[in-house]
Amino acid sequence: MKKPIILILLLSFTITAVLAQKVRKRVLIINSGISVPFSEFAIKKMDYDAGFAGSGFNLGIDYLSTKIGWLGFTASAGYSIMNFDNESYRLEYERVLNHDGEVEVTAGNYNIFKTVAGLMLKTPEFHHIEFLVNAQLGYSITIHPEIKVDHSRYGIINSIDQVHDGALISNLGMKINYIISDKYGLNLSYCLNYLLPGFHDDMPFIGSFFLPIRFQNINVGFIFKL
Amino acid sequence: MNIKSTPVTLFLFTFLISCSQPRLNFDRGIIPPAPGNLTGVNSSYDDYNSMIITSTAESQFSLFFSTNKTSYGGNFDFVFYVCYPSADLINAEFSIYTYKEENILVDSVNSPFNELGPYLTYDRASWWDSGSDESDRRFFYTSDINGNPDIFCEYYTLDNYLYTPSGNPIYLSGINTLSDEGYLSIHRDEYPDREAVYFTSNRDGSFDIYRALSEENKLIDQSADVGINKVEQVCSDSDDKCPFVKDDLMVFASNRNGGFGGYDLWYSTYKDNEWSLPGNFGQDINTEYDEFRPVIMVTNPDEFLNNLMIFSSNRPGGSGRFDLYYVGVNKNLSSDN
Repeated sequence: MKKPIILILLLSFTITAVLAQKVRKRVLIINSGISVPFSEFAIKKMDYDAGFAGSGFNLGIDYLSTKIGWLGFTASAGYSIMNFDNESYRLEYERVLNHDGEVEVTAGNYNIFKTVAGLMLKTPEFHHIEFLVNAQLGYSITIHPEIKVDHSRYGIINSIDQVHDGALISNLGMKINYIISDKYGLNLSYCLNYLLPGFHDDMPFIGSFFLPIRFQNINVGFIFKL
Repeated sequence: MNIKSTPVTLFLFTFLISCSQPRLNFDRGIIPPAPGNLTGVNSSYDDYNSMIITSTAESQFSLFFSTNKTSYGGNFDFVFYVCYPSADLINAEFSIYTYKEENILVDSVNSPFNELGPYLTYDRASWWDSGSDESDRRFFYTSDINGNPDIFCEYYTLDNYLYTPSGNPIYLSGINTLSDEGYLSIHRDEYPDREAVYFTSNRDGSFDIYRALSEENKLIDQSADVGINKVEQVCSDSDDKCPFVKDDLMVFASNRNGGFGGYDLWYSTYKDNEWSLPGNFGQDINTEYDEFRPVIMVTNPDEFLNNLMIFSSNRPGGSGRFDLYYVGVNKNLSSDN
């Protein structure tokens, strides 16, 4: 299913590049929107690699530079915050412990900082609108929330300090730019992020763990032509 | 110290990488507070009267128990299993893997009569633990080979996982009477120069729990002059049986009032030189059917949040008649009274 889509996109870029009449050189986009976890990171059951992550907020800045009509360079920096779903976590404890005792969960949020760079493919502007797809690679710092689970019978049954780790990050995204004037525009973007940070856990017999983090950014932003 | 992602990881496929160590939802294992059937050892016959003792590693234990499955419902003999408890720290699932092993020690004491109430003072030496007292190797058990249940002691040696009995079981003349005695258990360090043991007897009519004190600087099986007294704090007008002492916790079975029907499991704690009034383990563990012969294993606190108790019950849903069940009990049970 993915291969035909990619082929169609490449073909359309090639054709439209030939027809391109105008090339924009450099653009800065400041955007903001929501972060939505997916895959294991969004799972809220006590399964392998479940992240118990909920939706959150993000801020970002993108730099786009078009060297030739349809191909360009892109660099981005962003910050995402996603909540740890305390209530789902608590309900899962009650379920797996067969409702034995009371469980109280306290947890913070996931915080992710990323800087990435990559390539983009762009259509020519048509009716003030242009489409872009981009693939980026980079480095991220993830702050894993402090988690503490207190059980009425056993005391603290799970505790993880707030820990952080740097890890490689990759993302795939698409943007729709609406050009208002020679200086400004509006931007709607969608991005899939993949990273795999490792964290330290002080508890014996555990040591460290990896957490696959996958999340989407859906943003709106302002375009500033440089 | 953080774990860095390896540079050779292909950037675009980081999401495809599966990791060997996920985030865990439990710091330590939890043995379920609701009883589970020890299916690996139970049969359609009676399986009860167990003894568990930590074995060569913290992650395994030895299980001795009485069963009449080998005689197809006839007399009770001991059998021996090695058990591996494991707890899933992601979803709290708990299981005990068991396998049966031949054991010369239990074979040597098994007879055409009934052998019940096993109690070992020491099990296999831990391979890393050379400082343990390996000299105290006694196997106490109850047998009606003389017509009524009496307590015996068999010394044994252990070498390369091989239990070798002395071949001369000692009849505990200081404790045994013409009444029924059984289920001896040692309470260590109750007296510095005497050995304190607890057992059950019906010498006064109903079954009660008694304490016996050895002669000074002698073990109970070496003492002819044994001081015996009924443990009034834990006894009732009904039958009180199967005391098992671990550290300062005594667990036993009783059909006294205040239970949930039949024999229930009760516990008492030793503090300030006396046993507390017994507490019932509650309806999570006890039923209207019989619960019998509880034994406790103190688990490694770095591995489990609670201790393991094994008992027998004839409740419905088992393999038939009495089955062995496991359940988690609080480590701080002693402070609950």
